[in-house]
Amino acid sequence: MNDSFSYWMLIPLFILLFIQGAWIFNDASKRGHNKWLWGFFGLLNVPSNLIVYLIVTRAVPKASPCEHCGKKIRHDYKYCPHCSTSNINFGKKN
Amino acid sequence: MSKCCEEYEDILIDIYYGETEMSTEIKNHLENCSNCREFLNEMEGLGDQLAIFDTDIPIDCSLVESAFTSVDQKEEKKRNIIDLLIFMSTAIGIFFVIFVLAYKGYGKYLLYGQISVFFLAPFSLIAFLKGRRLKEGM
Amino acid sequence: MLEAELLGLAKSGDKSALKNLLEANYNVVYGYLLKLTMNEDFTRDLTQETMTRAIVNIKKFKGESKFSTWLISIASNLFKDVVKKKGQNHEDIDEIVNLDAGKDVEKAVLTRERLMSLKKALASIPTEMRQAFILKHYYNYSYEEIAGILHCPIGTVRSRIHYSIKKLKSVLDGGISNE
Repeated sequence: MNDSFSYWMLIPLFILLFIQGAWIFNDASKRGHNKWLWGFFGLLNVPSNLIVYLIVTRAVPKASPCEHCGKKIRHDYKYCPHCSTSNINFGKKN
Repeated sequence: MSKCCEEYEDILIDIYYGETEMSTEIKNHLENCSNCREFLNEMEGLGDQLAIFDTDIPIDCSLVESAFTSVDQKEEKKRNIIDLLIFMSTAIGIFFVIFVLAYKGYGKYLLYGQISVFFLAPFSLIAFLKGRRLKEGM
Repeated sequence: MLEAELLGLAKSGDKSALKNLLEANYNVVYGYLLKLTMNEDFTRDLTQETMTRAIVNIKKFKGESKFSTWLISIASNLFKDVVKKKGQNHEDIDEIVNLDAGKDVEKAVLTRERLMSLKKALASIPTEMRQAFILKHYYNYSYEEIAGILHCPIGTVRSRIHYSIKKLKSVLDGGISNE
């Protein structure tokens, strides 16, 4: 009796996990993160893994190497802090 | 006069553009009909006037580049959608397996698994954050 | 390099060969679209979209016609699709901005006037007719080739061109007699 109670309750949980996983997968692919890793991570647990994903991806800004001096510049910087050439990747979400 | 020349106008246009040969009949008509001769001259004048448009156009290489970029972007989007569908079907498969396991009576272990993952979340957060900061060179 | 060689390379995936082909035929496509639409911005967008379509479909092109002809048929189809989507709201004709003033300012102004009146004359012809006329007069395609590009019977091509010329004459002559 206990068993029959438990497994039908999984269905709404699965739906939630599915939506969470799919959303994280899509968001990771748009932002240039490893979508497969994060997607399956998002299938494990709701909502804690979603919170982890959001913090990890939003709290650290993306950075790419400067074409002039090679050091990494954040995408929300307009100019390279080391050599002052303008940042080609300014505003890029990827 | 004007009615006859209207018929001839179409043929004269074709002749001017080289689509038809000038037959002897038309040649004879032209010798007699000044309207039609004038029409042909006007065609030449029209050609000269229209030639103003034939200016040299500078090649904009960035336009060609953008064309290539947009093709790449479209392909990337298609790729992402296909991957998303693969992901979704894999997820459904996984859930189905878990559901069967629960049905068979292993629901308790799954519950324990979920709870432990829940508590592991903050640790994973720290680990991932560190990894990301390293990656972005902060 | 010959067009045929470049085409072979491009079809097998050589991106720079394709780029060269597109740049070599840029004038043709851009000029055609500019005369068709009379609007620089619209022409830029259409030219870029034409090139995009050409890049995507390059493998399907068998090379039975010239590359420029293929590009023009892509551009014509694209134009038809865009007009269908947007409906028949006419794009504004560009006021001519670039004045090649040089030494003779008076001559430049006259040329500008002539150019503007010619533009208006061309714009007075409905776009379908104008398309056939431009292909014939500026690019010297045969009636048959034009019929292939525009997907319509040769008779239609002929009548469109005749109509365009008569319309042009009446508009331009009307202008002259007004002076």
